[in-house]
Amino acid sequence: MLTEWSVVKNRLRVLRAERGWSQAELGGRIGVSRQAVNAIETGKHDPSLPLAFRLARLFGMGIEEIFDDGEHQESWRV
Amino acid sequence: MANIRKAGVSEPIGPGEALERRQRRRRTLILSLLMIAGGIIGYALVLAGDVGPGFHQGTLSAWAAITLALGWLVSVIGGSIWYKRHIDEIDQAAQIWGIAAAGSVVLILYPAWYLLWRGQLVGEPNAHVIFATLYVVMIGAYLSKKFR
Repeated sequence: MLTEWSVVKNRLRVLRAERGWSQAELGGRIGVSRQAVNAIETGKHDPSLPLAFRLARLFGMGIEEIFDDGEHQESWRV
Repeated sequence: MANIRKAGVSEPIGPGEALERRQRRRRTLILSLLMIAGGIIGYALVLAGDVGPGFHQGTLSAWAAITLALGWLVSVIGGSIWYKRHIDEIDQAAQIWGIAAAGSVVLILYPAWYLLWRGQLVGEPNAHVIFATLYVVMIGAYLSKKFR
């Protein structure tokens, strides 16, 4: 079934929880609102490439280690 | 860690949260100022004599009209540019969605209204109604996208 929500999954919530950050804390660190972080975490919004890069830099990871379009990265699925 | 503390919570908030809070306050300030500007323009409209019978049927002097139109343009254009600097891509996407939805509704409904009017089935298309429809749909679509 087609859905308007993203098919790209991400492990933002896990990474954020590992650091003990609130959504607002993460939002402030990457220059977006708390609602924006929530929308990305729940798959309602796919971040732009610049925002994805900011997230990757913040967590010290590659973009593909955070986001998964279903083609690979089986290892980090929870 | 910033020294700011959440109300009723002893845990200090981090630098990111302090920054996010500051941005949120700035957005609220900008929107409040824009609402105040809208209120001033509306009040000035009444003071300037647009108090005739019916919905805004009175007349304005040329100077009052020019001053109010300029006030409107400066507030909306300046405010939009200022506001845009403090919103993120999610809010921007919601705004674009709202504008697209409103534009689509008017583009679809106006020709139907026009044709029905030509067939003498309904009244002539009214600019106030079209503008109000556009505005209501835009706000509704924006809010539904942002807070769904």
